Amino acid sequence: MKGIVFTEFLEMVEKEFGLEIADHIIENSKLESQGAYTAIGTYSHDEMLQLISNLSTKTETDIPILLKAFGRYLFDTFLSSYPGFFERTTSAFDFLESIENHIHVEVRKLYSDAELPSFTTQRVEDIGFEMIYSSERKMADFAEGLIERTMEYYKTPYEMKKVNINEEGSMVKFTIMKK
Amino acid sequence: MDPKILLRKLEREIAARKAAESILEKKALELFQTNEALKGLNETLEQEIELRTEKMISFDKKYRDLVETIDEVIYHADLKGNFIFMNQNGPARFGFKYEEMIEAHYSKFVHPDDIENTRNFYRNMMLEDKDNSYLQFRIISKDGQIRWIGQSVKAVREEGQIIKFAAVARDITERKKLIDALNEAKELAESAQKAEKQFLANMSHEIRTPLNAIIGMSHLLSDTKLDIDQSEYVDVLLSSSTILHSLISDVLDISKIDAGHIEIQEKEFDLISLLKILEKTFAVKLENKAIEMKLDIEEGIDTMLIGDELLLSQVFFNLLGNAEKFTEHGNILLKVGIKEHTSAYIKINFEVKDTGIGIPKNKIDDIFKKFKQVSEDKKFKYGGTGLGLPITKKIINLMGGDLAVESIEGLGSVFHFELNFRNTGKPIVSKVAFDINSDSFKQPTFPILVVEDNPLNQKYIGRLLTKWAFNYEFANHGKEAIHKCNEKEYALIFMDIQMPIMDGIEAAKNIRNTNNLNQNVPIIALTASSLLSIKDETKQIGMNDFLSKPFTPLELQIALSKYFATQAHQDKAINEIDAKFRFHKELDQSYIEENYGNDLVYTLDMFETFLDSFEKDNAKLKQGISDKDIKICARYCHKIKPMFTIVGLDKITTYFESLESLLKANEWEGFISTYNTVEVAIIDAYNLITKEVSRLRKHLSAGTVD
Repeated sequence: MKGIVFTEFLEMVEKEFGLEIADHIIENSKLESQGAYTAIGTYSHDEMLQLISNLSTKTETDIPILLKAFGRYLFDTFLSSYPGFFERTTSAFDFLESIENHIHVEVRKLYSDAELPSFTTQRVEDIGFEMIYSSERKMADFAEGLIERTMEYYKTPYEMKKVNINEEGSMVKFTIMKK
Repeated sequence: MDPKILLRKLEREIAARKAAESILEKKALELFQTNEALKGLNETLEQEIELRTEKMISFDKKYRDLVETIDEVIYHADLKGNFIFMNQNGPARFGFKYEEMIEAHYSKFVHPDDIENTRNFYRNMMLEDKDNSYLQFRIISKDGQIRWIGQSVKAVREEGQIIKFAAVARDITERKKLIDALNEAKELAESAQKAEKQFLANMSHEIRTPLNAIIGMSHLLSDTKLDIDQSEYVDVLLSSSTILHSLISDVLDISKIDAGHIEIQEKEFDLISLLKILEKTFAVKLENKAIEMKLDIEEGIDTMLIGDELLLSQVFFNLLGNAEKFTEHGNILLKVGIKEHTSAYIKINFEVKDTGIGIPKNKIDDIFKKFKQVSEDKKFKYGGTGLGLPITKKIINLMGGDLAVESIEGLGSVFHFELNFRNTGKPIVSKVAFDINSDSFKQPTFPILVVEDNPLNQKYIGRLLTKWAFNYEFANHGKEAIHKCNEKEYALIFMDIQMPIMDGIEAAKNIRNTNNLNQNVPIIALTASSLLSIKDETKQIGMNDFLSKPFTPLELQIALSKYFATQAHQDKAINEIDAKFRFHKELDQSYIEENYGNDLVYTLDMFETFLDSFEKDNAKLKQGISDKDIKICARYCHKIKPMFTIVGLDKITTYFESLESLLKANEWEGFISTYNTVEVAIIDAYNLITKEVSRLRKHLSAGTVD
């Protein structure tokens, strides 16, 4: 998992819950990296699971809610740190499509070893949108947060349905309808 | 806040910074290495490009050398027809400088008469969107010479559109000259060959026509009252003209055999009756010599065989004629033996044995060679071309056999050969023995039509027909013959082949293929052409027989005897009929007696003709009925009407009279209902005649009654 995910996660934790909580979850996890994350590094996915799990325990908040919040947070990070991602997109659906077709392509150019989730998308007329999240990391909740924030950013009222395609949740279908 | 937490965060950040630096260092190293690798690759690429450029230069040089040394003009022309590329040496071949031709328009160099052609050539390539094409045309070289060019042109395309033409043009003047010369030689050779054929045909006609008159008139002359001297002169005249005739025939035949113009025409024939006719013919010829003609046929040939009767009879004529020529006294024996006999084929051995002068041992190999005779003095004595035996041998070879000879000088010769004939298994319908000595024919109801343009030949045939008491008429050419055939019925037609206005072939075709009174009448071709060559054509168009001019009275008599019963056998037949044969009681006995004079052969012939004609015409009538074609029905009712009277069933004729009159009155419904009523009777009548015919055949072949 790319370092930027960890640095952004910890930053969110510091902002939302404070330095103590951030330190606490690092100190209480058995991290190979000792919690010294750099955005350009690559770290085990297991470290993220430990950090989230500890955060959930510490804050008494469910993991899905935390992941969703992280998704929303990351969107805003992208917006301020990578304005280039948004130059060519004018709508929520455009942006959601560009994750797979543009952002991931760019990420792979920099980090050929990056393990990225896949987002296959399909428009239904002009009002509907289907997006299938597929990743062994099973972080569909994170994707949901990202989608929610995208819709809000583009000021698009919508309804969303989330259906697990398989039991373990490595494939999840989001159906988004404009209102 | 616990400063420890801040310290830990700081430591982590420092560690992260270090890790990041280390990663970046690593990345920088990777980048450096990649850069070095790229440099290397670049160098390799540059080297490769250099190598390729060198290769291309050498390749280009090779191409240029090829283009410049090749003996052709290679050029590109734009769509307007201007040369936009040309090999340097190309123009030099026609005395032009490169500068004179490049960028110039092609029409400046093309022969004025070929400019239009050349323009159309390029235009067609564009219009028809062709990729390749070839053109021959003339150009005028710098020194004013006309040179022939053959050029292959390829359209050069860009995105499917023709943008220019690439061409290779070659000077083909010499080749063209050679081809022209060859063509000229070929035409010359062909016309020479044609002329030769034409010459043979003409010679055949031109020489035989007057010869026919000479021989014919000599025969007639010999029948007049002559004193001894005159008679001797006429004999010399006859024998000399006959020799001349056979000489010409032989020369023509051998040239045709040599040219491969003779083909075997196999059909069903009766070997026994062929042999018997030959025996009789030669017996008559030998009457004035102290030679006896003998025929010895082994028992067992009782079926019709398949073979070329005409060629076979020519073989016997030649061999028997040869034997006759070299025999003074004794006998000539034609011996026929069966070697193998199966249901599929019969292998027959033929021998012609004479008691003549024989052949010396040292000359025996020469006799089958062209123009060779035993000795010069014998040639003088016996005459002939020396072609008879080579022709005979070749004909036998064509039929699948081989002619051999055994001879003892002074005692005689035996010529023998074996031939295989396919066996039809059909029994021979034996004819009443043919009597050549009878001068009288049973006269037919209708006259004979002689179609002949030559007045001398007319006179000759006329005299002979008069002698045998035939009625006859003349037509001077084919057109007149057709006219006459439409007017009235004839018993037989003699048809000359070469005639002005319309020839005999044309006329016979017309008579056979159009509806007229004589559509099925026997036609005998009279031809001055060689015996072997004309037969195909006359047979093909449905002529029954032919006589090669000049013919002897005997030959004419033999020809006629195939179609008209002679008096002698008629008498014989009368006796037999009265004794044994009774026609079915349904048939009008008195009518048959009155019309066929109790001649059973003639009656059988008429009945068979009836069956034949009725079958054909009735089929047409039925077709007419199903087509509801009133005209056709009327025509065939009219045609069939008299047929039944002829076979003694007058009652059926009256049916057809009524049918015809109904049709003439346009009473189609009445015609159909009447026809349906009488049809059974008609079929019964037809079946009755069929039975009578088979009874007659049986009676005639077995000589018994059923």
